[in-house]
Amino acid sequence: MGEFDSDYSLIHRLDPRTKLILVVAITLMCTIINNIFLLLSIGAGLIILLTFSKTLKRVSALLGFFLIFAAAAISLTAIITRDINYALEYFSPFLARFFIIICAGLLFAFTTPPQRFAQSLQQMRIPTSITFTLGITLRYIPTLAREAESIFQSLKLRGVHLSKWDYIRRPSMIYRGIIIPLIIRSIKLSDEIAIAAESRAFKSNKSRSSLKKLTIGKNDVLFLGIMIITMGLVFYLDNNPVFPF
Amino acid sequence: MTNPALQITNLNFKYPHQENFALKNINLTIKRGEFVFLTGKSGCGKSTLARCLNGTLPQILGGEIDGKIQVLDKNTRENSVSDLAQNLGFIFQNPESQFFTVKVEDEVAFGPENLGWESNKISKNVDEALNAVDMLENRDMNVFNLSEGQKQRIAVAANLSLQPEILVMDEPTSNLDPPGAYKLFEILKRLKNQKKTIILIDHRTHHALPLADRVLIMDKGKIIKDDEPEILYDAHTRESYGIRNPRVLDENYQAPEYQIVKQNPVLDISRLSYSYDNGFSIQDINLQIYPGEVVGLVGSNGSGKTTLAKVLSGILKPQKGTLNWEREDSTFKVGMVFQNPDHQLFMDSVYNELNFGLEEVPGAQLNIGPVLKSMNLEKLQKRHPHSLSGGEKQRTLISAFLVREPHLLIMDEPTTGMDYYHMQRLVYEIKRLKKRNMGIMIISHDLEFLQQTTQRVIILSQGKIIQEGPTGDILSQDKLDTCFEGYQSLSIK
Amino acid sequence: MNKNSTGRFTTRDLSFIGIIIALMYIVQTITILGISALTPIDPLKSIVSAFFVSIVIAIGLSKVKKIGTFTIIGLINGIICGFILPAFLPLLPATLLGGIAADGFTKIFFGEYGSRNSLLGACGVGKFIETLVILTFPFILGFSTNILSPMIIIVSAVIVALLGAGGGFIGYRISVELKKAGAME
Repeated sequence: MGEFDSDYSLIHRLDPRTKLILVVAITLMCTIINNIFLLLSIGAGLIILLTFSKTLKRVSALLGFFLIFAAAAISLTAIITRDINYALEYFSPFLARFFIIICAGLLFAFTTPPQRFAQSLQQMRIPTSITFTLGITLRYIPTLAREAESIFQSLKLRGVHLSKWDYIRRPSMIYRGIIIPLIIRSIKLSDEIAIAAESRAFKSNKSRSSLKKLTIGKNDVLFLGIMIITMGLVFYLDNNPVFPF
Repeated sequence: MTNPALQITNLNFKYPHQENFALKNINLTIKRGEFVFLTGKSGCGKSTLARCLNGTLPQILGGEIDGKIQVLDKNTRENSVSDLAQNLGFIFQNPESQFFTVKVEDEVAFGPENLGWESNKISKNVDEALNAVDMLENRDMNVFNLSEGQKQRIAVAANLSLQPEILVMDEPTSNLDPPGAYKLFEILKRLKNQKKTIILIDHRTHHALPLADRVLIMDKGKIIKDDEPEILYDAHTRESYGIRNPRVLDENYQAPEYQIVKQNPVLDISRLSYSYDNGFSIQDINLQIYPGEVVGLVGSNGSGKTTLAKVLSGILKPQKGTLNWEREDSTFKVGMVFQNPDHQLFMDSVYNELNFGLEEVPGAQLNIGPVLKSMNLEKLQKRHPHSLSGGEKQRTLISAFLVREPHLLIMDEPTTGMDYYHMQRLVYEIKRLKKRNMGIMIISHDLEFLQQTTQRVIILSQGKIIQEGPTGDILSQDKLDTCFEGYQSLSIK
Repeated sequence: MNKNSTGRFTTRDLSFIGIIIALMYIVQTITILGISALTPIDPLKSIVSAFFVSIVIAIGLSKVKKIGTFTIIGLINGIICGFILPAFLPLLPATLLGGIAADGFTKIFFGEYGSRNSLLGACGVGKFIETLVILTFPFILGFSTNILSPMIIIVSAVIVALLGAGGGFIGYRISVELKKAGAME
């Protein structure tokens, strides 16, 4: 979970709820749209947004990996069937949709600090019990990662070097050596967290206020407006093809 | 208002699935504005009592309770832990497990947010609370980038933002280095002057003594002494109840003559350097450790002690310099006992723990029997390591290294959270370990413990050795004042 | 989730569930890094990690015991998978439905979590449904049934379910061991 600078770009500054709507809407929409050129345009639109949010560089490795996979799938089918058109027709809509969902997800994940996301869920009246638990998970992943590192060091100190084959050959080494010490630590940690939470007036069935309330601003309204118009246009074009293809 | 801050009447408490009472017939009245120091050896019931004060026991962790606890205008029977939060704040040993967010201001705002306060009011309280712990300028910082001492101050602020009149602190300085602990006590002194009622629980007495108005000593679930703080200067009282000396250096200590034969070191370190990506480094370390020698390594947090230990133990690879071992051929060279033994115990019995991974060390299995015997673990060999006490876990872990016949045994802060009684046991065990002709290195802030165990002490500062010599020379008052960054606060009174 | 069923979860339950989900991530990362050298095929990695992750889930279930635990795990895990890492939204319905199915299964057959069979069954059912949903998702995106036949999907889901149940069994054994040692209630 990296550091985020919330003032990095306009997309970063958008309310997480705005971006959440974008991700859900795009994911649902791309399953309905059938025209491959419209699908590719949506993909291109997302690439523009990624560029605009200055995150394209950071996600390029992941996207590149997907594109290689896509190219491999198409060429393999083309070689087997000896029909490149068939392979393209067969895979393109699926791969294009997959690509859109990945781009939308990455756009959200790379421009939204997890804690801010959790806070936006709280403001969406998701039950406190869920937002609190999500908050704990996000907060303690780095802590437990450090604990895991220290456990690996302890194993090394005892002369136990786990190899990749041990995961299959000796799974007991993995759960004895790693999971048990982590669980022991987790039990103590979670008791202390519960005590700390209630000692600071937390109640799992009560809603909370917040120091800095997230607000839907002008930019959000503008962004959502453009999004709705674009989506409407895409639906219209999907049902009333103006292009010959 | 002359009501007491806290009034406990006929309190008895029993943990779930336990036969014996952990607290027996406690009666106690604490006045408003009083600073009470609650002490006693491990397992005496002091933490249990603390956790009863705001209802954590039995409301969160279970158990059977009997009697009454009145906290200002509320009692723990009719009010939940969260309802009591504005009367009583609770801070404990490990700052890491008290946090819910990653940003300082969000953390301090967590309590007020739970009460549903308006954001202006929250903001004002956050400012005041941060100011009270001298952390206002760190308001926007990430808590992961704070030192342990700063984290603990944020934990205090996170309670102060709810404006409780009473603060209960359970060993708040155990994880802090001397400068960090000193700073925290400076803040406690200010809070005391602001008429907060403070209940501090610890078996280390040095910092608490000047602030305390009253000392309570517990033993076997009972309060057995309720007296003036000066009672802690009485060695007999301290030793009877396992309490540490308020003077960090033992006034009767007589340095033994340094008798180590400086020949054939088990380890010869020359020009060793290691740097992390973030710029922190240890540089140009030259050091020899001789068979049967116990060396102490001191310095404030961030001086490079743990990094040095990790390089010696092979966890980190040295980037420059050499480590020459006397017996280069043997496969196993260093054992290292971490501060928290929970990370290092994997198996389902003490015997299996010693046997863990031994198939790769030829002949080592033959050592298990003798080591179990000499480390006094024979009776415990079938027990589950996680069912043992802290001291027993530590002994099991040391034994798990001893069967591999290490050249060097490193112990990182072995006395954290340890009372006087258990510290003395460890001193005795280390004296016996010396006879095994290996080197022992102890990383510690605990000067009294180092006095009693080491023959030589090394002071590390900013990644370099700045002082080195026989224990008697280094651990003296004038050296404390000049050489130890931030250790001045430990001066003998 | 209605108010009553969330109200039953104490702060202690929730903080433990939160830590358990964090732990699932750590264990998943460790196993995926550990075995990635063995197989370059992504689905295979998650299949092997299903075993280790189920151990962690089973320990969580055996401590909290309450029906609804698996749903909370599935929902939060899904929120993280869908929006944070790997940020692939279709994973949210998969983990959530897996959790609901496991809770439903346990409610009907066992009442609550705790016995060996309840943990083994819940982890198996949870993983089965989760895999089924993930693997049927490509159809929604227009993938042809000629390549990914329903038969392959069912067989893969059964394999993952068996690994999940195996993890549930080990998780049960560990929780018994820790309870005996007094390290867990």
